[in-house]
Amino acid sequence: MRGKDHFYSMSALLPMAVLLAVFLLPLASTFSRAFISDGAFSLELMKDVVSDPYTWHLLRFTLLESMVSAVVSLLLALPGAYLFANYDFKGRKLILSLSSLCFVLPSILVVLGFVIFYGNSGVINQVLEAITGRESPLRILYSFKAIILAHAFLNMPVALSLLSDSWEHWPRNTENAARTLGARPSRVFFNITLPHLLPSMLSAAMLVFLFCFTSFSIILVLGGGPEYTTLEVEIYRTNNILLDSSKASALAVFSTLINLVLILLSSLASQRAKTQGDDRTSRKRKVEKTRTRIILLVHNIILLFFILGPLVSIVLRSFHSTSKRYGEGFSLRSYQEIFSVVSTTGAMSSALEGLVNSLITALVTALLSTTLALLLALHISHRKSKTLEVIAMMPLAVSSVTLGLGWSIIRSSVDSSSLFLSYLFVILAHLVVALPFALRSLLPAAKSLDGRTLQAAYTMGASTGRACLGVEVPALHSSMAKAFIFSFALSMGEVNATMTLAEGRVVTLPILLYRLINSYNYQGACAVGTLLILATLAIFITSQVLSEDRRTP
Amino acid sequence: MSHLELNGLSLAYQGFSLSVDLSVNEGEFLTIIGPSGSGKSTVLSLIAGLREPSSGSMLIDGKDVTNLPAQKRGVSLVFQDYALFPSMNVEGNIGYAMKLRHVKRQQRQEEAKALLDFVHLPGYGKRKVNTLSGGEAQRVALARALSSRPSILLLDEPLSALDAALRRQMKDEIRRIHDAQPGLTTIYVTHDREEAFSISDRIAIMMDGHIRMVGTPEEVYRKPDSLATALFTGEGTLLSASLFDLSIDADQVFFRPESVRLREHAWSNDSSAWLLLEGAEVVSAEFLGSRYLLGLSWKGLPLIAESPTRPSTRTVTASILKSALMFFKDGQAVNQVLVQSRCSGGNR
Amino acid sequence: MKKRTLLTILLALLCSMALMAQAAGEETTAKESITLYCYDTFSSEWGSGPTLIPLFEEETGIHVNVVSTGDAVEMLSRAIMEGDDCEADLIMGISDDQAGKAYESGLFTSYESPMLEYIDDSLEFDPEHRLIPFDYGVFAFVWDSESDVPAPTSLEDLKDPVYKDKIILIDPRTSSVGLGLLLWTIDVYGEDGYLDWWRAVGENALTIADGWSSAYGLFTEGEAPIVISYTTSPVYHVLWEDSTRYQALIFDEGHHQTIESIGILASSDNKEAAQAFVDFILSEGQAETAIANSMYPVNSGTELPDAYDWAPKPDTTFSMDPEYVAANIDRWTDEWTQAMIGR
Repeated sequence: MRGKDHFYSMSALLPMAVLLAVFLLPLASTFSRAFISDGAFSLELMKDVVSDPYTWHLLRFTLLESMVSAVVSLLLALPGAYLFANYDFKGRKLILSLSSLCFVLPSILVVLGFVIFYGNSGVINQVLEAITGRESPLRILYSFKAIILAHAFLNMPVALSLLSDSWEHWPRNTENAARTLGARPSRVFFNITLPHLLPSMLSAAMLVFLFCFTSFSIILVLGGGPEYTTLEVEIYRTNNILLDSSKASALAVFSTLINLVLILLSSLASQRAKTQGDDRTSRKRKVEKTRTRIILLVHNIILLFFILGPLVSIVLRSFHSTSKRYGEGFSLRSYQEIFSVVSTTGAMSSALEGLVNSLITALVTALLSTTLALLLALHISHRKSKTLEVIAMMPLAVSSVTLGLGWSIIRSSVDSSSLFLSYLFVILAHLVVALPFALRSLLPAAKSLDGRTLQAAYTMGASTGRACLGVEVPALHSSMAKAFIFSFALSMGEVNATMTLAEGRVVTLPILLYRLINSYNYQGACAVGTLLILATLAIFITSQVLSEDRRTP
Repeated sequence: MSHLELNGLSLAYQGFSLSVDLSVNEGEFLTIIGPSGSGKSTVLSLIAGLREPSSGSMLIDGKDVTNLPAQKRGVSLVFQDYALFPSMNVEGNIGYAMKLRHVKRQQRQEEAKALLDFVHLPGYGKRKVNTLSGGEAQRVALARALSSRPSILLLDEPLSALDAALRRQMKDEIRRIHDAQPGLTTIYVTHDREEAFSISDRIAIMMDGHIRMVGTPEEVYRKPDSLATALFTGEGTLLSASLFDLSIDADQVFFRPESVRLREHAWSNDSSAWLLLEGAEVVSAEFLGSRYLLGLSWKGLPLIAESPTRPSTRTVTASILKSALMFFKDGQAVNQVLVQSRCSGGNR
Repeated sequence: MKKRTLLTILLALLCSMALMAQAAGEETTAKESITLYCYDTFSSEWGSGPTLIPLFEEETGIHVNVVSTGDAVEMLSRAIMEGDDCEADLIMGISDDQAGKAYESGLFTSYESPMLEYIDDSLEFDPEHRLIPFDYGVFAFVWDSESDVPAPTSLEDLKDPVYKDKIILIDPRTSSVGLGLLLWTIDVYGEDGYLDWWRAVGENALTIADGWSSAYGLFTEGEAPIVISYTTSPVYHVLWEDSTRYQALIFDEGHHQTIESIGILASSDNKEAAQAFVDFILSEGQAETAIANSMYPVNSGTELPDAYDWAPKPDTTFSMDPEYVAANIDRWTDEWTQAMIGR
């Protein structure tokens, strides 16, 4: 058994080294700046930040914005979670995949889609204008509402999948028991179902809250002005525009501390409300009643409208020229453009190069993150290591801007001319972004592995490594596929780290998209966005096909 | 008037159709047994109002309750997996139905305490439900089901998750609980026929979504109205009726192992009362403690028989009291008392 | 087995594509080359970059490596952050408002271009010629004539509730155009009054965008009919879209002027090539740059298309001493920030 212990403690070494190199080190370098002024340790910077009323304004707004976003996302996800957990219907999986698509798209693309779809002259308003005759009747974009809407769009799917999963495996009989004891359906929901869902609601809310707390592009474009700015945007502005990396670091420390306190509080709360009585059999049933059928149909149409609206508008917009010079209406010009731009000017890279770069980084990132997550998950499940789990999940709590700050500090100390290093940095940074999600996909399955099958393998004379490869890894196949897909998609959509670390040398699709938006070539940006959507969609669909293959060998 | 009446209560789902006629008397303990997948649990869901029937009606005390929602039927259901509320402690679980009826807190606590005493779990009120053992959880589930003072108590395979010793104990407990509540009608679902025989007033045999027979345990065992019922309610030997010279219009004859007497020597007494199968060969003998279960081969056909002793000779004569024979034609029982005609074992 | 083969093929394909892309990129780096930092609009599809750079490369044989770095403010910020490690030989697009910061950084070296004689003295804001003007513009609000709001005629007009949610402003902390507007309001209302204007007009703003690109993008997508930009902005629409829909408005109070400049970095290893580029931009490149940037050329001999008739020139223009701006800018933006939160 000593060999076994040894094996599983070694398995965490590699992932820990990677985390150390690309997460903890940059974080430490960021943090150290916050405590050094004039070459000596000092709390001056922190004092300045904490005593500045603007910091507290930012914190107030950040908390408010994140809280409202979390609550709205949850409320929007609740009806869907109920339907998806309780009914089995055609297209259920497709809708779930489509909704996770929003989550992995770069937020700048989401912003673009939002303007085109929900904007004052957007698709919805144009349709409504044609009907009502009033000008832009639906004013939902900009300022606070817009931030919440965009955050809900991005995060509702996360809440939906977490909630419906927990709801699906909640034994229906408990609710039935309450009914036979005389409880009305509403009482059943509030007394029985809700207390069960609460922990997963809390954890979903926490996740959404954290994403919104560290949200960046959406606030930057849709928020606008100092009033609707978050700590995150301020860190970015302080560092990249005011060039005050020390103050930015101090702000980053402040923001991270707040985040950690929140995570701690929420994990305490969720510990108390530990779930029990889960059964792994599904409670889904076929739709029997016409009424349910109609409700499902209406819900799914609204959901798809909500999810696909902005995405489809991006695709349509990419074929629609508004320029009189090239003729208004349908045009393939933007596609010709993005594929033909000569790379000699160094400014614009062709979309093909972007696509290749994106696919390569995503593939390598996904392979690495799945492998590392697997090693970590096995270690955590065998050694019951809570600390490691927390450390591996920590990148979720630290914003990409804060990390980017650390990376740029480290990056500036390494030879910057090597293209290979640029790729390496980008992949490592993507790895940090993807690893927590890959781990999240793998951990539940790893924890539920039946220890007896492993023992059976030992009794048959398998070495620890053989048993792990032969017994455990195959049992985790489908979770590994999930981790792979998620990492792949996250890497495809990553923009912040790529921008900071590659300094424009590794041009991925999101970077190209970002540049096109900045030079306000919306049609071109939409064309790149369309490529990105299609590539991500292809991954999701392939995974679906492959996972179905496995079930019927 | 019967307490509960199901008239053609039907449900069709996923290629399975169920249609049930059943009448249960007040205070009766009725068990539904049947192979898995026969629809037993579904019938309970229909009675409890957890599923809606596609047609048919259901009456309680003569009142049509077909469209009454579950919470208004006064029917309690104990689930196979107990389905205790994890968000409440034992007392909370038991007091839940009373809370819904706005019973005062103190009274709830008292009643919960009384119910816990009743199911022999005194002092368990503050326990968390995930700390209970299987048997304890089952008792709490029973107490909770009784707390709403139901007129009908439904039990869905409540003992299937317990070990054998506990099962026997809980079975007696359930019957005691039933008997202690005058007027309580209990419908119990199980796939274990011995459990059903010992606990029930009457038994309903369910197969393929239909109730095949309702009767006392003795009736369903000794006088099954179909071959399928006979085979389900116990073991036995099935032989073609054409082997014997019987003046009865049947194509199959069936008898239980305990109806067989084995004789080691030729024995020709009273052959009018006995069916004699001579020259049966003992193939196997299984010791069951109080008796042996023997596998015989007679003319190449398998027979099973019980015997208090292991036969000392290899060849025996199996004799069966004619009144214990069951006859079937096209799977249906032939209800005819066998006349005292001479039957002989073949043409030897 | 099939799946694995498929994956292998996919991987091989990807790798070969990557190698090809890289090989194509390396081919051009052999020649003499300079690196130019510029803001995104220069290198974009309708920026002057794509036409001017090949022309320059052809004439001189010097390869220009263009790095686009976001907005003008971000560009300078990045160069300052990189300090001695900065790869750029040239930085193009620093406005006079930011000049103070640029001087302070000590990054730039003087260059007395022979082309300076064609440039109006009033535009040469840096007496040491570290930053050499190449075009200039005048901030103005641009109005969508197809909208249903009337064209405002003064900064004061914009306070009118009729413009509620009709104006797109830009954050002066992140954008040179935003900063231009801030300075404009200080020109007009003085330090005591400019925040009142911002408070009032802030109420009417649809959003305060982070940069000119997103603001102007939202404007042309029809999100709001008024945006802060330049008097020269309509030129682009006339020239490329045959449209006079978007019109620059001349305000009664006068306008703030901005001068964009190019500078050679002291750390450059290739100053001669960099100087050649500056001369090129100040001569042959003038018309193209002015048109693409929607600015006025600084070289008085430049011939401009008729579309420039749609770029109205105000009678009164203001500009501010770069040193004065540099001394006060942080205080102003802080005050502005406080005012925008408190409104």
